[in-house]
Parts: sequence; C-alpha cells; structure tokens
Amino acid sequence: MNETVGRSIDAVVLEQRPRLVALVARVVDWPDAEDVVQEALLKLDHDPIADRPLSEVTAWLRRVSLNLAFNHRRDLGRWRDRGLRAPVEDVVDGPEAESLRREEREAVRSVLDRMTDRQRNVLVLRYAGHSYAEIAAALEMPVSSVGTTLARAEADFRSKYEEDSK
Amino acid sequence: MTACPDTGTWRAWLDDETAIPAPETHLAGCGACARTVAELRSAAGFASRKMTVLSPAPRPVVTPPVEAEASPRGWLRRFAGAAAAVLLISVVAATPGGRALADSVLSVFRSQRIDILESTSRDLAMSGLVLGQLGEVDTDGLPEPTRVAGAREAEAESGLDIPDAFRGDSWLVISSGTVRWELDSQAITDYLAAHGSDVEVPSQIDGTVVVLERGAIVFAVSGPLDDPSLVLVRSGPVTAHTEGASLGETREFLLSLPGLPGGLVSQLRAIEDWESTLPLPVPVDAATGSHVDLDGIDAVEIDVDDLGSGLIWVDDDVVTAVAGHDPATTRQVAMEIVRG
Repeated sequence: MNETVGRSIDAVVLEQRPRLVALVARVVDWPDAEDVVQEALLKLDHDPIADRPLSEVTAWLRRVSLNLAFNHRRDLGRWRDRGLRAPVEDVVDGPEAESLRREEREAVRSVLDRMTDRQRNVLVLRYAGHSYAEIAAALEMPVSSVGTTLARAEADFRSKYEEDSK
Repeated sequence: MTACPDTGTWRAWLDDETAIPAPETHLAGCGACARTVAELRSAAGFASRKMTVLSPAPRPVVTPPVEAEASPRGWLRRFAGAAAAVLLISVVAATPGGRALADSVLSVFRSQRIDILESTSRDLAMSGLVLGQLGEVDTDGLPEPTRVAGAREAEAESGLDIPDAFRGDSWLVISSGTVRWELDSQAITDYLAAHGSDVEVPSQIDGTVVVLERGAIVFAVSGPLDDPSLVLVRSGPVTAHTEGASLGETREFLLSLPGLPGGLVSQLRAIEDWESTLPLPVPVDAATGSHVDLDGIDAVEIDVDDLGSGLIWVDDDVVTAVAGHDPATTRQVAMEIVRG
C-alpha cells in the first residue's frame, strides 16, 4: 500500500525539511541551504515521485537537494567571477577559530565540487550518518555497490585534497 | 582460506554494513587484503576527519502561520490568519541583529509602520510550527469577538476613533488582548537536536516570556459574515516586550536558530527600524504585496489571487485595514477613511 496515501505533501515536507537542511548545510552555508531545500521541495510538488511511497520520496529529496546544492555552488562561483555576489565567507566577520573553520570547510567543498555527482553525494550522505541502504536509495544504486563507490570516493577525495594542499 | 572479498565488501565491513566470515583470520593470512583494508581505513579516516568540518553550524529563525485556502470563503479566515501571523512575527521583528546585547531589558516594540515580508504559504506555516516548538503559547488573553449595534457602540467598546467612512452591516469588537509565549530551554534543546545542533541554550533564555499586546479591534463587515464583500478593520497598536532576557537578546537568539526559511530571516534582519516596523507576511505563492501611497500615508496593498485585495496602514499608532473582493472599491473606501 502506498505510504503517502492520506498524507499531504505538506506533511511530508514538515517531516523532511529539518534533516534535509542539515544535510544540505554541509554543502552550502545558511541561508542558501534553506533556499536549496525550498527549491527541491518545489520540484517535488511538480514531480510524479510525490505520489510514490514515503521512502522513495525521501530518497528522491536527498538526491535532488544535494545536486541542487552543488549546482548552487557552481553558480555562486560564476557570480563571484563576475563580481555579482560575494561569498558568504567573505562578508561574515568572526573570531579567528571560526575564520579557520570556514577556510577548512571551503577547502573540503572545493574538492567535492570537482568530484563526480555520485562520488561526492556518497561522501556527503555517509558522513552525515546515512546507512548504506539509505545511500543506495538516494543515489539509485544497488546496496551492494555502495561500499565500492564509497571506497573510490574516499580515495579520490584524499588524492584531490592532498593535491590542493601542495 | 576463503576467497578474497572485493574492495567494496571490505569497505562495507569497516562500516559494519556487511558480514565477512572470519575476517580477522582471512586478513592474518592474506597480505593483499590486509593492505587493501589498511588503505581503506586510512582513506576513510582521512575523509572522516575532513568531512567533520562540514557539520552544519547552528543558524537562523522564525516566522508565522498563514493558512492558504483556495475557497473564496476562506479569505476572511486567511485575513484572520494573517493577523495572527503579524502578532507572532512581531516577536521576531522585535529582535534585530547586531545590537541585541546592547538593548535594555525594558526595550519594547511598538507598531508605527508596516513593511512587507515576502514568503510562501508553506514557509510561513512551517515557521509558525517552529515557534510553537520552542515553548508554551498562552492565548487566554485573546478574547472572543462580540457583536455590537453600530459604529458608536464599537467606538465606546473599543476606545478607538471610528471615522464616518467606516460602514458595515455587522459590527464586531474584540477587546485588547495579550499573548504570552514562554520559552522553554528543554524544548529548544530538543528542537536544536532535531536539527543536528548541540548548541547550549543561553541560561537567560530559559523561562523568558515574550509578551505581545494589541489594542482593541473593530470589524465593520458588509454582506454575510461567512462571505463578506468588504471588511474594515481598525486596531490599536501591537506592542511586544519580554520578561527575562531582553527583547534584543531574545530576538538575536531566535534569529540564530536553524530551521527557519532563510529568505524570511534575511528580510527581518534587514529591517532597520525594527522597534517600530510591523512586518506583514505576504505569501507570494498566493498573493502579491506592494507599497502604495494613500493620500500621503504609506500603505501596503495585498492582492490575493482571484479572491480580492486588502490595504493596511498605520497612522498615529492606529492600524487600519480594508479588504474586499473588488480592488477598486477597496481602494476607494481606504482613501475615504484616510481623508476622514
């Protein structure tokens, strides 16, 4: 039986939104994370997936939100290049520790930017605490492939990060 | 010795996501797998240390509930919902960024002008739910409306000056009321935990009570009460103060909470004269809001798709609103009221 029967999309949204924002906030800073999730939820309104069982809706939202978040970072980079928008990190004042943390965060994100969709998403989802089953559902892959994808993603991540640090 | 598991299986085993028969025995006798697992552990450890920095920092805030209904008869209820939203959001509005800690405990918010706060019905509804999760809202101080015979009785009952341009078939008065919202540190901690944050709630926030007070309200309704053609509303000012943490501290704390729509928070932070500006939430998916000049008075006009329009303004501390199905009539009546 369809789990979403009798449940409005709004009810789904209310349940999912906080965790989605927490997930997306690993890729983009607030308030952009809120906007990205909002965009994903709007897409959900117009997608046939909205009529599917809740577990499928959740997996879809995770994948779409992460892809939108990385797209948003790409767009931010373009705008920054044209001088249209300063990155949040440049306009927020803060103590030294926070400044250092922002630099580290940006270093990690810039590595993720250069990885494939699947590899960076598997990293973000795994280190946000998602199980292999949840990752498999979100990324539309067999559970048996998650370990291999994750292993390759971690190796690629370290390689790129260390290259940047040279 | 059993066959060598592949790299993905070893990786899943490291995460306890799969079982491998006698893995330690296999690793002790297989140099290739031992090297693979060592590399996997190393890469996973590196990624884990680096990815930790992406854990979201706690952030922003709050808003109000507006019920979006498609039924034409729902517009009056929506108007009432917007009024409730105004009350709630004034809590947030009374909490500017930056100077929060410098505010005195006695600082208060008082509505003297109105500005538009653009959002979506969903964001507004969710923001209202967020507010409700942070503490107890006591609305016992909001009395029920009572019917009165006409303008003069409404004037006497409310203490408000009712101009001749106020006309209606039915008259309702709600006497002045209070909403008390007591913040609960345990509820806030639970809320933060649900958002992946372990930030400690400042001690002064616990038990702080936000007190919203509004003056009496007069409604003059043309047409049937359940489907009016025109509604005129006049209200005394909305004020807010706190008991416990200062208004500024409270506002700043609310604005730093996660889970609130970023666009709304940005707009609230952008309000410079926050101590006197009442933000009017406009769900942009169902309505449009714009500033219009009413004979020298700055008013906000809201057009609700296919349902009608409303005008709201503050003059001399008194809030007045006109809403109806026909935008031209709404404007004409609003102008008559302004001109006295």
